[in-house]
Amino acid sequence: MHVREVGPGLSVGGYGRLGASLVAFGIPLTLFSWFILLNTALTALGLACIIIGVTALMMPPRPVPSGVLRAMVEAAAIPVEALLEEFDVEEPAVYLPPRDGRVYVFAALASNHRGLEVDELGRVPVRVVNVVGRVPGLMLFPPGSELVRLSGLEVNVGLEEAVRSVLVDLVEGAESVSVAMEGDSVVVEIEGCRLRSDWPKFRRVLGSPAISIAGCSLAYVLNRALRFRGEEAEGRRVRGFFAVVS
Amino acid sequence: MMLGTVISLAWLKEARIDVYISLFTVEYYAASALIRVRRRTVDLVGLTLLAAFARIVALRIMELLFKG
Repeated sequence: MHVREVGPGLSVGGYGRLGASLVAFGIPLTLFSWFILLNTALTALGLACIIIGVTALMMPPRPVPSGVLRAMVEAAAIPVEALLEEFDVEEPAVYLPPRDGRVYVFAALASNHRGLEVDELGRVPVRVVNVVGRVPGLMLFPPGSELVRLSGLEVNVGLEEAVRSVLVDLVEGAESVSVAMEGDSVVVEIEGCRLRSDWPKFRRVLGSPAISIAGCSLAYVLNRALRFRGEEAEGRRVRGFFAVVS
Repeated sequence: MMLGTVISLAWLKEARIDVYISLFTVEYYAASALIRVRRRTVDLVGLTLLAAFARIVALRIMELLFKG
């Protein structure tokens, strides 16, 4: 879909074109009806056109259809699954605070995490196999990381708003999302999940793709490391558990 | 929804523009809450409608007060 910027926050393309047409029709109709025809109903009709038109113009463009985004997320999960399978990773991963706007994940290869320093995790070079403290592990780039960056998420938004903005509004990977944080634990509940989760290692280590996207959004907004603690799935409802690592 | 409002009020021979604007404001906020439209800027339409609605209500209250 062709998208053309016409000003700050305004775009032409998709709904934008419809919005511009409605505004272009609404303004003369309102003025003509009010000043010449002296007809209130037609004036109101013109105003309605302007209201709907401006609303459509202010809607963000969607250059990549959400179906394509979902397919890309699922495709990006496959190499991560292969890598986790190759290294036989079993331990739940840690979502790291963003570095250069990107959230990385550290998946420890050993079950003993003693010596794993979060501060050090933020400093180690980004390469696949890393040793942090005395803990060897994989530094992975989860599919949700780039989506968070693409969504233009601001750091000061609420947790639920952040996850909804990426997972529901951008990817359309779920119908609704709720996030609860109590102390150091964060629970994400996703209703009507539309993303496939056929990758057992990925699911065990990072959570299903939808939960992983939520984990990336949370790590980005909180600017803190989050350990994935597991998930429960019941039909299309998924509940993911995270703990803030201090 | 707005077209329905215009047709209904025109059928009722309503000639006050403030009635139309008040109903548009209510509809706009109800629809925004239900559909949760994403926006790239502040909600200019919503703020304009709210300001217009507040002015209409304020004028109506003043009219009632000064009549009394």
